[in-house]
Formats: sequence, C-alpha cells, structure tokens
Amino acid sequence: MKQTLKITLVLCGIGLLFQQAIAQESIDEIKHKEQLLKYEELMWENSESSFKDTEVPIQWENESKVGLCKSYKLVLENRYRRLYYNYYYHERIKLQDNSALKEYSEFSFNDSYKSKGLFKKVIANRFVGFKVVKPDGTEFKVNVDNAVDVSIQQGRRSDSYNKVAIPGLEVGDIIDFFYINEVKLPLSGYSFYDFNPDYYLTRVSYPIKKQYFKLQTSKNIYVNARSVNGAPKLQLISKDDDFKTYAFEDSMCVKVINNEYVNGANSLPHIKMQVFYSQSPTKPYTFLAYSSMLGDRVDFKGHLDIQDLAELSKSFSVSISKYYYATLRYIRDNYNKKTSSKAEVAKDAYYFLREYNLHVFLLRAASNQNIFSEIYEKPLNNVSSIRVLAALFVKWKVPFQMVYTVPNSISRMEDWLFVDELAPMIKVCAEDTFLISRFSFNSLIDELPQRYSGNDGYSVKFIEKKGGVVNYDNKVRPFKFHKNSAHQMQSVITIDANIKNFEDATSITYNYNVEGVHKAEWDSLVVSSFDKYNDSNVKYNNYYFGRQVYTSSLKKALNNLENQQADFEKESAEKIEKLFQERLGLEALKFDSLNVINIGRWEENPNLDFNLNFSLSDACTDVGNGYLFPVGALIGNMLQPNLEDTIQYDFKTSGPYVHKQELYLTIPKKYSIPDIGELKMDFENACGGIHLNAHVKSDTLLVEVREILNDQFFSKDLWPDYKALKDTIKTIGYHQLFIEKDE
Amino acid sequence: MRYNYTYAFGNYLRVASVMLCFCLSLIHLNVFSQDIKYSLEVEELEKKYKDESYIILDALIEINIVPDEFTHAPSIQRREKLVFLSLKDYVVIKDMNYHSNNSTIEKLKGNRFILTSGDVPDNEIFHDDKKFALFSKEILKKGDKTKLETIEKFKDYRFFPSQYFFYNVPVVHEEIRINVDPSIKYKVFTFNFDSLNIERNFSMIRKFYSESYILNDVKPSKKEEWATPVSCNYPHLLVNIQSFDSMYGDKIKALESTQDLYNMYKNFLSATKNDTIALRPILDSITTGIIDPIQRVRGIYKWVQQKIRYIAFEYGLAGYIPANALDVVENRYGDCKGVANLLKTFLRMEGLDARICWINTKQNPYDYSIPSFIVDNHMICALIYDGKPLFLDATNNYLGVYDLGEYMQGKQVLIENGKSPWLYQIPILNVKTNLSQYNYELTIKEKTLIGTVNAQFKGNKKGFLKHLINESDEELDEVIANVVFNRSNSINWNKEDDVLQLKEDSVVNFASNIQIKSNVLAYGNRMFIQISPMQKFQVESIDTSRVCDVQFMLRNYSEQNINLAIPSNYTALSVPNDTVLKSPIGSVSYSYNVNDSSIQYNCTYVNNSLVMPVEEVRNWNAFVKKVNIEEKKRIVLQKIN
Repeated sequence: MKQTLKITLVLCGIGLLFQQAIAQESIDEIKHKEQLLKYEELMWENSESSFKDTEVPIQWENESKVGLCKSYKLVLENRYRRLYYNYYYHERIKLQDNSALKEYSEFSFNDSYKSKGLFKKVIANRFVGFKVVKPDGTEFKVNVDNAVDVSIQQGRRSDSYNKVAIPGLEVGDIIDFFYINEVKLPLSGYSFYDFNPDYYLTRVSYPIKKQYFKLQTSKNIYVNARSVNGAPKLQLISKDDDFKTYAFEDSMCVKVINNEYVNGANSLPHIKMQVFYSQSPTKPYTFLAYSSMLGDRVDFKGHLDIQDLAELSKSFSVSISKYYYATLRYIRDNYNKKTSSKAEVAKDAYYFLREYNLHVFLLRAASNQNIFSEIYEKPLNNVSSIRVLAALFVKWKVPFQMVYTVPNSISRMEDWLFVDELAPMIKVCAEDTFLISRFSFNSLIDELPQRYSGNDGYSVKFIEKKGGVVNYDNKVRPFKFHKNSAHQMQSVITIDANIKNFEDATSITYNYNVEGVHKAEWDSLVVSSFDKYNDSNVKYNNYYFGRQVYTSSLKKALNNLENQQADFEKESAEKIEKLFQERLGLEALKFDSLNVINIGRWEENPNLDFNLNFSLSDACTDVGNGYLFPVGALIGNMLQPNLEDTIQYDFKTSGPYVHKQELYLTIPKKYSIPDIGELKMDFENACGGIHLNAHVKSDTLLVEVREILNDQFFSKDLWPDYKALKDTIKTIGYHQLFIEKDE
Repeated sequence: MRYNYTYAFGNYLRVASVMLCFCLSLIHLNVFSQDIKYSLEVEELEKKYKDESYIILDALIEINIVPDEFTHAPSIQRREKLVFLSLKDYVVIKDMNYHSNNSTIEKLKGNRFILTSGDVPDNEIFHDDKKFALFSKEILKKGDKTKLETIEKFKDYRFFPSQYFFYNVPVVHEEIRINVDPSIKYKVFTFNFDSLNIERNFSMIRKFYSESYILNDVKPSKKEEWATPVSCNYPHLLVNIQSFDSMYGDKIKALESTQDLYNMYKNFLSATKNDTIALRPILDSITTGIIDPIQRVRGIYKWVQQKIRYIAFEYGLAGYIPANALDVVENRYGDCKGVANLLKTFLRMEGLDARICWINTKQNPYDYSIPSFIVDNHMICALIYDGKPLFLDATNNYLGVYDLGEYMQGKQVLIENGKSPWLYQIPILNVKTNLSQYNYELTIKEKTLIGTVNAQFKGNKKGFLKHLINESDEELDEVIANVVFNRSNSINWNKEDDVLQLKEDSVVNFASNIQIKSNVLAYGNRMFIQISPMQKFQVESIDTSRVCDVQFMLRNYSEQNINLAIPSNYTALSVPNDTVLKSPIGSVSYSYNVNDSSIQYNCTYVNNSLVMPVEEVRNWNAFVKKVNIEEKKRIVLQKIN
C-alpha cells in the first residue's frame, strides 16, 4: 500500500513538474510576443526620423538596392549579477531590381536560446521584425509566426533555424527589418569578461543614405574603440548615473567597388571596438599579464600604451603545456646546456615544435570522430607556439627579444587596439640573429609572411630569470620589419615541350621550383597530408606521442591518413588538369602525372620542387606550308581577370613576386622557325614589369619570360599602372608560333 | 587383480581428453580453414571493389502491404536488412535514407549505428517535407561485417515512392521482395531493367502474394554533371495499389487508371477556393485599356510572371493543392501550382477557357499510362484558344504566350477537362526557334580585326539571357562576355553603349563595334587569320566513364555570318575547306566564300536534342576533337608584291 502511495506521489510530482514546464513554456512564449510588440513599436514607431525617409538620391537611382537608413546599437549592462549584451540592428533598404528583390525575398534567423543546466545559464532572446513599405507609403508587417523551421537531430543534440518568406514584396518597395539579440550572461564567479573585437564597416557593397551607430555602457563596462580610415568619430553624447552613450552618424555612404582588391577592414573606413566587463577597476583581467598592458582602466580608450608590451612579454615566459615539456625533453636529450650553441638549440626547438604540431594537426584531421581529442591536445596556434618557445628559451638562457606587430591584413600598428590583433614573434639574438614568426607545416626560420612584411612593430629584450622572476628590459623599442622583395618570392618554371610530329600529342613537362611564402599556393594542390607526415624528420618522432605510439586511436588516424592518399591523388589530378586547362586556355590538355621532388620544408632545401606532366593533342593548326603552335598558351595565363578602370581605395595584390619561365620547345625534323614573331616584349612601370625574349638554337626554341610584381600593396593612384601591366601580361597567352616546313 | 578405479578413470580421462583434443583440433581446423576462406573472399572483394572502403554484401528490402487494422486501407511498411562488409580498417559506414513526412524511419537492429536525421534544405523549394535519416557506424577492422535493419512506415499508401536498387556503395546481392495481402490489388511497374539480369520470382508465402526481384552486383549511384535524372539511368520499380477491399468487402478503387489519378488531382483542386470578387479590381487594373483579347492574355500572363515571385511551399498535401489565387496575389509569391491556379482564375474571369495541367519537366521514363504521383512534378495553365491549348508557365518569367519552354516540349501533359482527363502530347518546336545569330562586318587594321556585330537571340536562348540580365547578380558586361560571346576573352566590345537591347518581346538584340586582338598573326608577307571571333558552342568533351545520359540545357541553333574585307594590298592565298561535321545530336557546318575584296564565312551549329545517350559519348568526343581542329584553321592572306 505504502509502495503504491509512493509511486502515485512520485507520478503526481512528475506530472506537476511536467505541467509546470509546459505552462512555463507558454508563459515564455507570451512574454516573447509581448516583448516583440514593444520592439516593433520601438523600431518602427519611435526610431530616428531618417527611418521615415523614402527618397533615393538621384545618383543611386540605377543601383540594385539602396540602404535608406541603418542603425546599429549595442547596449552592455551589468545588473543583478548578470551581464546583458544586447544588440539591435535595424535597416531599411529600397529594392530597385529583381536581383535585390530575390535577395530579400527570404530571411533566415535563429530562435531564442537557453543553455542547459540549472546554474550559470546563458539566455539569448532573439526578436525579428519585417515590414514592407510600398511606394505609395502604405506598409504592412510580416507575420513571423509563419516562419518555417529547418532542423537536424543527432541523439539529444539538435540544431535548427527559421526561414520566413516576405509576402507582397515587389521591385520599388522598401524592406524594413530589425534583428535583436539580447544575451544574458551569468556573472557569478567571473570578475572579468572580454567580448570579441568587432569591426563595423561604414562602407559596404551597396550605398547607404544614413547610418547610426550607438554604444551604451553601464558601470563596470570598459570600451576600447577607435575610428579608422576616415570613419566618423565615436563620441560620448550622453552620460548619467546609469549609462554612458557613445555614437556617430554617417550620411551618403558610397558603395565599395572592386571589393576583391580591397585589403579588408584595413583599407575601408570602420569602427573597431572591444568591450570588457570588470567587476572593479582594481580587479585584474583574465590574463594577468594583459592587465597592465591594457593600461589604466578607463571607460573609453582610443589607443594603447606601447610601453605596456614590456609587461605582456612576461606572460610569454611560462608555458606548462605538453608541447613545452616534449620540446624541453627533446632539447635536454640532445644538447648540453653549457656547451651547445644557443642558436642551434633555438633552431632545433623551433623545428621540433613545428613538427609536433603538424603531427597532431594531421592525425586529428584524419581521425573520423573526436576520439583523437580524448588523448591528445589540440594543435597550437601561432601565439601558443611562440609562448612555448619563449618559455624554453628562458629556461635554456637563449638570448632573445619579443617582437610585436599587427598583421597588415587586420590593421596598422598605429591603430592597434586589441590584444587579439597582436602577433608576437621571437627574435633570437645568439650566435646568429634570426626571427621566428610563424608555425605552419612548411614555415622556416627567418621567413617573413606577407602579413608582416614592411610593418612597424616593437621589441622587448629578455634579460634573465632570477629567483623565478623573468626580467625583461623595460624599454620597448620600435622595430621595423624588413620588406619581402619580389626577388625573395621567386618561382622558376622550366617547361619542356616536345612536338614529336604534328599528328601526335605534344608532351609538356612543367618543372616548378617555388620559394618563399608563395609555396603555400601550390602545396595544397601537390603535397598530400600523407606526404607531409612522411616528410617529417624521424629524429623528432619518438618525442611526440611517446608511449602512446601503439594506441588504437593513433593507429586508426594513421590508417585514415594513408587511406586518404588515393583520394588526394585523384582529386589533385582533376584539379591540376582543370586549372591548367583554364589557365592555358587549352581544353585538349590532359594531365598525365605529378612528381614531387622536394616539399620544401627544411632549410637545407627550402624550395617546393615538383614536375607536372601533360600531353596536348591537336594543338597545332595546319596552315599549308607549316603549322601554328600555341606557344603563348604554354607561358601565359588566361585566368587574368578583366580589371575595372578605377578603384576607390589603395589595393592589395598577390605580390610581390618574380615568376620566371623558360620554355624549351623541341620541333620536329624538317621543320624550322623562320621568325620568332612577337615573342619579344619589354614592359615596365611602377608596379612591375614583363620581359619576354625568344631565340632558336638548332631544333629548340627557348622562350624566357620574367614577370615581376614589385609589392603587395599599392596606392590607388597606381591602379592604371597595375591594369596596364596585367593587360600586357594577358596578351602573351595569344601568341602563336609559325613553324615552317623546310623547302 | 584388483581393479584400479583410479587407473580406469585416468584412462577414460586420458582417452576422453585425447578425443576432446582431436575434436577441438578438428573444429579449430574447420574454423581456421573457414577463416582462410573468408579472408580470401574478402581479398577478392577488395580487389574487385578497390575504390571502395566498404560494400553491402546483402540487401533485402521487404515491402509489406496489408490492410490497415481499422480502416482496411492498404498499410505499407518497408523493411530494409543490410549486411555491410568493411574493406579497409577504420571506415565509417553510412546508410542514407531520404523520405517525406508521409513516413517514419526507425532502427530495428544495428548495434552502435548512430542516427542523424532532419530536414533536407533545398535551394529551389522554400519549404517542403523532404527529410533524411542517416545511420552511421564506425568499423575498426577490415573484413568485419555489420548488420543494420530498419523499418519505414508509410501513412498514406498513395504517396508510396519508387524503390531503387542502388545504394551509395556497391551491393553484392540484393533482393526486393513485395508481400501483398490478397485483398489488395496491385501492379508493379519496372524501369531500366532491360540491360540487367534481374531475376523475378513469384510465390505465395503464407497467405501473401510474394514477388521478388533479385539483382547481383548492383552498381552504386554516381553523381555526374549534366546528367539526366536517376529515374532514367538506374533500375527501379513502382508498386502501384490499384484497389482494395473495404471492411464491408466491397472493392475500393485506388490508382488503377489515369482516370483515377485525375479524379484524385481534381479532388485536390477542388480544395482550393478562389475569391473572384476580390480579384476583380486587380484583374481590371491589369487589363484596363487593352481591347484585343490576346493582348489582354499577354498582359495577364506578363503581370503574373513579373509580379509573382517563385517561392514554393510543398509540405505534405500543399505539394498537391494549389494556394488560392487571392493569397498568391496578396503574397506576391507562389509555387507552380499557385501561379497556374492564379492564371487560370484570371483567364476564366476574362471568359476564356483556361485549365490546369500536370506535366513532368524532367526527362524520365514515365507517362500517364502509370497512374501515380511520380509521373509529374509541375503544374502549368493551358489556355484553349482557337480550339488548341496554349501552355502558360508563369514560373518562367520570360516565356511569351506562344513560346514553349524546352522542358515542356515533347512531353505528355494531363489537362483538366471536366470529368475525364485530356491527355495531350506537346509538340517539339523546330530547333530554329532557339536561334542565336551573329552577323559581323570585319576589316583588318594593325593585326586586329575590327568592325561591327549585330546579334539576335530568340526562343529559350532569349529567355535565358533575359533571366541573366534581370535576375542574376552578374553585371551586364559579365553576361555579354560569358553568354553572348561565350567566354571568348579576346573580344572587346563598346561598353559605353547600351548594347544589349530587349527590342521586342520575342527577340533580344545586341549591336556593338568590336575589336578582336588575337586572331591575326603576321609572319613575313603572310597573314594567318582565325576568322571566327567566338569559338566553341559549349562543345566540350565528356568523361567516357560516365554512366548517365547527358542532359543539355537547351537545344540550340547558332549561326555566325562574317564578312571580312581583304586589305587592299593582300590576296587570299588559301581558305579552309567547307566542312560539315555530324554529332550524335546535331551538326556543325563551316563554309567560306572568297571574292576579290572579301571573304564570307558561315558557321552553323545545330543541337537538336536535349538528351544524348551515354553510349554516344565516344562519338561526341570524336566530334568535339574535329570541331577543335576545324575551328583552329586559318585563312592565309598573301601580300601582293
């Protein structure tokens, strides 16, 4: 009886809980609807007056779409032991053609979200609203309840999003929409919270008539923000006990054209911003060393003190990861702390770490599930790798400096504002002096990636470690990175083409020898993961996974890596054939084989060296007393894009580089080349040059091509020169050589 | 002598243990020999399927059709039993199933198989009930077998789909078994069985009719570019329920004839109510001031094409029942059914005889002799004008009233026709309706061909161009370079002019001054001229290992006429011979006509068919090779001394 009563009570309890859960769900739903109505009123009734504007400026009448008004507002508030991160986006766009109509016919958005668990719950309430405004001023709201759900489930995990079709929308209408994301973060246990940096572009791919940007912060919220490249200044417009408000307005913002040549945010006007929460001004940041580096805690900070890089350097002296201990073990086993050359130790430690990281990366990528992650840690990123080496150098008393810059793909050093932007490097100053700047599977010591080339930076000298305290020279010195010259980025291509007779296919071999960072353009195509793995130096291997060599996960990952080799070869052959067919404009070109001679991962032989063998059938055109051969196709590049006449901003290219090509064309007996025709060219301007020369020696034609692009970045004034250079290079591809039958 | 029990017992034990060892060794030998045999089998399979990580050794699909316990309507369950064999170490086995909301899929057996399921996002259809269920499992060792058994239960027998043989990996032995209760009358339609050795057996198992189809060595499906649909290329069957006994014993018709299918379609149509009173002001605003009846039709057709965006909701029965006309007008969007119904409603309000039509836009082996939903995939409107149907498809924004989309031509269409359906075969129009014509007037100046081009595009080629100009993200220059000049990047046209004009509804015109830089080569006193500025009419070689027929986007009639003025101090030394090259689906001809002052060149390319059988790929490639040689040929001009 008692048992039955117990069961009944338990069931009743469960029933009640269940009922309550359902009731809670419907209460949440009602609350959400009520809140949405409030937001609709806020966004559509009480928004800035420019949101009522429907007129498109005359100069934008032919644009596909025009942003009439846009507003972005971020509110950060610290209230009741919770942190609120609320994001309000509102935009009104005039749709002026079918392409724009199609783009805004449907919207996708995420549902509200609640993280699982009873405590420390993250709640994100999301609200969307869509309104169509007709040219006669009538407007109607879109019912977002009609949105459909697209979902995927696996076990208890599920992922979904909503889609809504905008009814009644036509060309000439205005679509007015908002998206609000209210995130509630638990603060219990956290004294510091840093949000991701944000880059708000004030110029996008369509023109915008008016835009507003607003940032509101409550007590204990700190902002690092700065206007860059001519973006309007973010100014404090109001301040009371609860909130500070920073804002700017911008009008008549033209669209960005030739987007692919723009160097991202670094070229475009934008506001960069990062927001922090700190429980009190005296509480440290998450990373102790960053604390002082970020300087005095002020509400709004527009620049950082370079001097604090000295403090930051201290955090690079300690690393307790597996990588550190593995590297240390390797160095201890192979070198003597007192007698060994410090430079040698530094170099070997670098390559050891590079290889260890590569192995973890390859084997993790090759393991099907997450099994591998149970045993091994994640591959290190560049910053963590530098930390490991810095800690090791401190331990082994290798003299070095920490060097800092901001990659030119992100920002300029003078605009530096966030820790996340910073790229730390190590300059070893031992028997030799060299720079360690990056860790990738084929990176080398003293090799400077293009993103740091010619940059401004700062250096801090490590002095000594005494009594557990690492001492750096407190002086932060300006540091100028050298600029990679075109000649350091050279690829040499020797092409052997043999026309046996005009009926058979011509065999063509491209011998590539690529140096510098341009190796990366080829290695993903010609070097498989398995090749990379096999290329590793065996002397390092025993130190990576040690006892775990025979674990099933490792065996499995290795097996997968090997299994993937056949797929890679097949895919690579298809890609190479397609690339060369398109580049050379020769559809009849067939890929035969690839032979990788050297992967170019080691200092003694740093160039990527490989042969590609092709056969080309029906290449020659019979013109009576001889044949025309498409010699230009073998040395040209038909994939050169047609460039626009103008550009708005300074532009970025794939330079600097020197591409040298030497074509040896063997012609059949009883034929000769009476004239090299137009195979002679000398063109040079401020951006670079192209030099073409040819001469015949017995049965072989030698064509030499030298293409130079002087730099990676050019000012917009040089765009006509760049275009002229590219247009000239393009003409090479069309050259046909007349091969005459001997009388 | 005393009997020594211990000894005797020991002896027995010894004998027994010897016997046991012998037996064990026999078993072991047997197991060992079986192991060897098995590993040899695996090795053989590994050799045979060297590109595969795993295969299906045995697949049994049982389709069980029985009367529902309560309604007596046919209830269908599809049980799938698969035996996988891994041919490599550490492989992930995947069994992907696509289904709709009409069915649910569950795992019955299959230890450690993980189910991932969800909606299948579709770029063309905004919302439908296509779902996937993926069963996956990791196998550690080569030669390991694993079993998976699933069951798919269908809610409505009418929407039971076709059953294909193929999987994503090869199947060594496969059987599809159909078990049907005798109270249910059914018919099995088979497709693409001809070239295969499919064994068919018929028997009575317990009280069921049992029909089985056995196929060995089933090839996996292969994704290929420009392929006709899977229904054209892979063997499959359709179980069609014709009738069944009700709980009272009388026969209930299901889908026995085209009439039955039509009745069902009509039923769906009757669920759509159109409010003509509310639609009247809209119709009046479209037709105000237009008196000519056909112009009124044009006006209505154009309005629906331009104002109603294609957004499809095909969830459950919404895949068959059109949205009502007023909703479509108010939403300014609809799917094929919605716009067909809107057109029909508008035209009927005009007093015209407009009807709904069901049609299949894709190449497939079905016609309306098969009373099933698989036969069609599209709805259009037919206007019966002068006794003949004009087919109007407002999902295609650039078709004129008298135009026929390529996807409609030659297709059987089911036209709404009162109580009985009207089956109609849409004619195939002359390929010249898809004309692309280029007329060039060229001269040679400083090794450059300069002059003018006048081009016109008709029919579906026109529609394609209009679509790109009006609706794609491509800039006009890109459209001209890629479509008008077929990616010939040596041509420069005058970008300052508004060169691409939609002069009238039926033609797109293009006129411009042009320069072609790379076609003239001068060596000594000779000039070698490649006269055609634009080569290749999308003629590219095709991989001979493909398994599917080749599907082209459009049939094509393309003509280039060039008049090249010979420079005054030159004479024509030679021109290539006139040639006609035949392809499996058409031809290309080249002709040259020389007089003292000029050379006339004509090149006509004809592609007569949308589909090329896979067996013709080699002939096609030979044709491509000849075209490439022909198009490289040069006119030779000699300087007059």
